[in-house]
Amino acid sequence: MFRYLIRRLLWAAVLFLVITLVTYVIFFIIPANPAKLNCGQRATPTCIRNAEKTLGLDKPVYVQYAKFLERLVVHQNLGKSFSTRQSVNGIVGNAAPVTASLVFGGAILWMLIALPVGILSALRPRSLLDRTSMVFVLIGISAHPVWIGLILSYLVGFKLGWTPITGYCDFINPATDCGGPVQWAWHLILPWITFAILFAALYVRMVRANVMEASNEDYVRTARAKGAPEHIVIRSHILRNALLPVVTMLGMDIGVALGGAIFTESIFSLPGLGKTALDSITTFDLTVTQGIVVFATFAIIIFNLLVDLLYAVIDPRIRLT
Amino acid sequence: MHKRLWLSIAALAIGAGLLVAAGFASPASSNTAKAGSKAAKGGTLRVDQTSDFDFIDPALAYFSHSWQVELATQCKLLGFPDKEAKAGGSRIVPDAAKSLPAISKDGKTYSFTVRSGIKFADGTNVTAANFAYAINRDLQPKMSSPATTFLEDVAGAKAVLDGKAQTASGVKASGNKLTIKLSKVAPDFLARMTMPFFGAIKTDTPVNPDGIGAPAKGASCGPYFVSDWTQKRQLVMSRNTFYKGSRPANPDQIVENIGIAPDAQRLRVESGETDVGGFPPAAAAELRDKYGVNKMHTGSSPSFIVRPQAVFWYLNLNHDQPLFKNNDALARAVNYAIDRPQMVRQHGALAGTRTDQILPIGFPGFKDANIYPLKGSNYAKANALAKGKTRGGKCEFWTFNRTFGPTVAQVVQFNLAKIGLNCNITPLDRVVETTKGGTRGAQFDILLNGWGQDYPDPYDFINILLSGTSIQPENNVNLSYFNSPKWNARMAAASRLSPPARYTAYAKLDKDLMAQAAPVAPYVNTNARVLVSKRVGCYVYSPAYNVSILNALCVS
Repeated sequence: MFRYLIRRLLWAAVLFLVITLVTYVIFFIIPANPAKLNCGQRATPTCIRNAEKTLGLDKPVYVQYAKFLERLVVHQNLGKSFSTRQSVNGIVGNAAPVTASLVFGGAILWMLIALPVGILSALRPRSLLDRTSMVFVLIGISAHPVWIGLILSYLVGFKLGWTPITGYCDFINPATDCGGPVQWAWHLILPWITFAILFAALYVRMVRANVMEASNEDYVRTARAKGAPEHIVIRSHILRNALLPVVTMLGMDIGVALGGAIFTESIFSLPGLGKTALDSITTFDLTVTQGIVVFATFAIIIFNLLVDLLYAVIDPRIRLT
Repeated sequence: MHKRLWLSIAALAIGAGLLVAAGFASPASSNTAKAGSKAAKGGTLRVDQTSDFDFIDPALAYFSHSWQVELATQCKLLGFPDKEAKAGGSRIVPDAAKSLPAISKDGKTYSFTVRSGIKFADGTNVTAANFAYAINRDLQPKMSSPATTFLEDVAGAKAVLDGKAQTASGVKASGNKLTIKLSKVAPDFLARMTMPFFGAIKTDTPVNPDGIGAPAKGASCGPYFVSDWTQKRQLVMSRNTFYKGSRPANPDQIVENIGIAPDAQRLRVESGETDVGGFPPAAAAELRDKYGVNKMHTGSSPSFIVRPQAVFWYLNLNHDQPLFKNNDALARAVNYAIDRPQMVRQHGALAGTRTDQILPIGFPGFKDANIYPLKGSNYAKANALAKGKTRGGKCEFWTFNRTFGPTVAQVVQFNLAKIGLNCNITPLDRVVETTKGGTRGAQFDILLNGWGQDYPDPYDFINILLSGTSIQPENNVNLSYFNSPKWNARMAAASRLSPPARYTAYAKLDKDLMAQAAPVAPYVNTNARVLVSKRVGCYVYSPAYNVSILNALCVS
């Protein structure tokens, strides 16, 4: 187990270097000068020169990258935004809880939908419930989250007035004039639904397929033949095996989503990592883009590692070597 | 079979229901409440913004909505009345200065007297030293301020910019007297001093390239100050209780909600969640039909406001490339061939007014010259001019890849094909377009571009965009690479004149440039289009800064 962990961490470091290096290279290939953007539409050579010095852009690219790595590894500092000169640590630190609120809340919602619907569908194939859930799956996979979000925002938020149209409130320590758990949840209802629908549809299909496959296994037939009650057969034999892949997928999907649920955040004006990344890319703000890439990379690496470790705990047949 | 039929019907019903929801576009039920009276003072004004402010530091703020905040919070030596254009909102007036400055006989020295009794939001007195400090702080290399562009002719500025001095020798403050000496005559200097870069700031404000944060009491001697700014969330302006001037301070508080998408802004204004917002350009026609234009429906429904801006969109015709080099006839042919109404339609309803001139309509120095057709193409005239001048007939058209960029390019491509020019369209990101286009030697023939005023003087348009003396290897703004000694001399001569001769000269220059050389093909002066809620009782737009004057809006 220890050797496995060390190996995974070393690979994670290599992956991190490759991803950040590629981000840097792509950024500098694009013909845009952040220093000129700082100086406005009538930028003079003097202003651009001074801005390049302030932003550290007067050094060669490899020197800038080396400084970035040194700042990150030694000082845990992601630098300052090119556009606003704010600390990127602060920008990412403010945006991450918003995305986490959306992703974890959405994940709970999609699992609350996917598990019972998927299991019941599998246990009663071709029933009315099963067919209805498959229609839901088709719609959930086909409809784009942007469209779903706009429809919900318009119908539920605007026409019915049941929820806010957009916006975010902090759970604790509100930064604006709205905050607290109730406001936080009320503002996230529509984003959670929008975010969850696609994943719920995918997971219903996955759970249904896994449960149906597990139901046909020899050990299930043996358990039934030995007279085990049906609820024990379902709980201890079918579900335990069928849900293992779901654990894997859940961890990976949450890890990826923590990098920024761009569509949902944009529609509902949530100041999370996705929207921040989109803004930073359109303003050629390398440091913020890089900061979010670093965070997303760490999130994916950590969640994948946690999933693998959890898998070994849940399934005694798995040995990590 | 029976079961399957019912299931199919159920699925069809669900799908149909979703389609109905998608097409559901009936307007919100109108509020039948009586129109309320226009409340003059009090209340919280809520404003939605699509993007965050860049800075609230006067030395660094450059976004238009950042200048809107500066307008409400600063005091400057000179400014504009908080009024619409027709009520005198375009006239330079003293703000913190007692009067317009005395100008020396050689035209290079400006002497201001600062009014007494002006205070920052923390109660500290404002003196001439605060304005001198603002200028010197702008010049510090560490600040990397965009203001340096507008201060290069201040005596001693170069020494500060080069790091050889802390203060510019030409800026002197003593008590309430401020003297600014220039290295050359610059009749546009007064217009430049109205820019927010030169608002008073406390002399203990650090020279920090990160800018100041909130609360920004030490940079606020206007009706409000920024009391809170949570980046990407909200900015709050509160009344400056020490402000005793005559500028309006109607709302008790102004709250700016940041990062709201345009379609959400529209819904929020219509539902009353916010007071001032935008909308997707495609919705302009619907809003016009629903609310009329410039009709205040205070108390009953939102109002749709349209105001002209000092912004124009145009085609740069690259004189560095073979197609348009020494080919004025073809440049004029392009101006005859383009279908300006169709190009403007791509911006959405009420997007602007068609134009064929460089200076915006109503701008100082503008005089309508009726040079090219504004109602459509004149292919007969265009072909007559283009005959034998198309030099192979191929052209490279650079545009930006969002909103109206691609569609305007397609309209122009269609128009120019009629005169024998077959253009290949290359859509680029807007920043990439101007960066690549701004590098000398760029391989485009035509480039779609826009320009808005920094300050209300024709120099900021004609000289900046078309004088060949400013062309450099990269970071160019003259993307037509137009460099004619004859026209350079005329532009320089006009820049040395003072009003009213200045405006007369620029009016003639504008007309002659377009009629004879046509280095660009202008097509629209854009409008600002704003949606305000039924709570808003009065609305004022600044023609000088192209923004809503938030301190002059009133809410019930």
